Amino acid sequence: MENIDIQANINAALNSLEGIQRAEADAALLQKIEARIAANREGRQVQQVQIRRLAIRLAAAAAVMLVLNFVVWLNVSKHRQNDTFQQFSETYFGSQLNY
Amino acid sequence: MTNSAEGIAISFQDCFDAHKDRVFNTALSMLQNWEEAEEVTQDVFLAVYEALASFRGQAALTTWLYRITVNKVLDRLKARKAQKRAGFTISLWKQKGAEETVFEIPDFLHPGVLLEQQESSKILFKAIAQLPENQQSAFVMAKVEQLSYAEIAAILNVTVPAVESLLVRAKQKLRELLKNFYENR
Repeated sequence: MENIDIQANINAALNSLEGIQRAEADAALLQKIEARIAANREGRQVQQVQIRRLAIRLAAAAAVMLVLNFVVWLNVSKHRQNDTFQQFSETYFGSQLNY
Repeated sequence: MTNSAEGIAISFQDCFDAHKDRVFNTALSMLQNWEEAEEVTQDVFLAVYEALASFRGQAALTTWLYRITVNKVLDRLKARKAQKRAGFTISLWKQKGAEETVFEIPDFLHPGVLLEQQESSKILFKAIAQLPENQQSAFVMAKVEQLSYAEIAAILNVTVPAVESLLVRAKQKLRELLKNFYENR
């Protein structure tokens, strides 16, 4: 008897979804989604601005490095042209080379 | 569906109006939680908004929407399980909380169930929540959304016999769970 009851309950539970109607979404859902779309778009714009700023800073830093390298290279090559043993001796030994 | 901004907006609106209840109902039946189902519906339509322009109609729009919904719901269920696992670990450290039933499934009443079947459906939904993910998805789509096996197969990206097999196993498991429930009541 108990078994029959249990089987009846199981069948009733399994058949309980017959004739089920679709649950309806909240009417304000579209507004919420639109708000999230707008927020996402804003967030993406802010991100793009931040990335652009970072790129400009990196480019500026790279340009400064390039200029500094160029200045150093110019100085080195100028010294190479002008430096003679005599000048070197004067600079570092305070006297001319005496062969 | 056009690529112009206005075209996408109109298409999105149409898509939302036509499918919102379908997406929400699937999410609600699987998650059994009103707030989470709303959040998932929002997530689904956000994903749709992003991808609608690139949707080329390889699959039917409905199939595509159901697929996104099922994936989002499964992500949510995984996150929920991970959260419960973390909660359980914490409760083991706190001796006081260890007695709390972390895995208890709350009662869920689907608003579309007929009045005379509400009590039985609460028990059935509890059992559905304990099914493996793929069986749960197939069962909800077949019984709540009343989709055909072919449609379910397309959504889950499996064959029709695989869907049949999933549903047979789901029903067996549900019978087992319901039997345990009624015997121990």
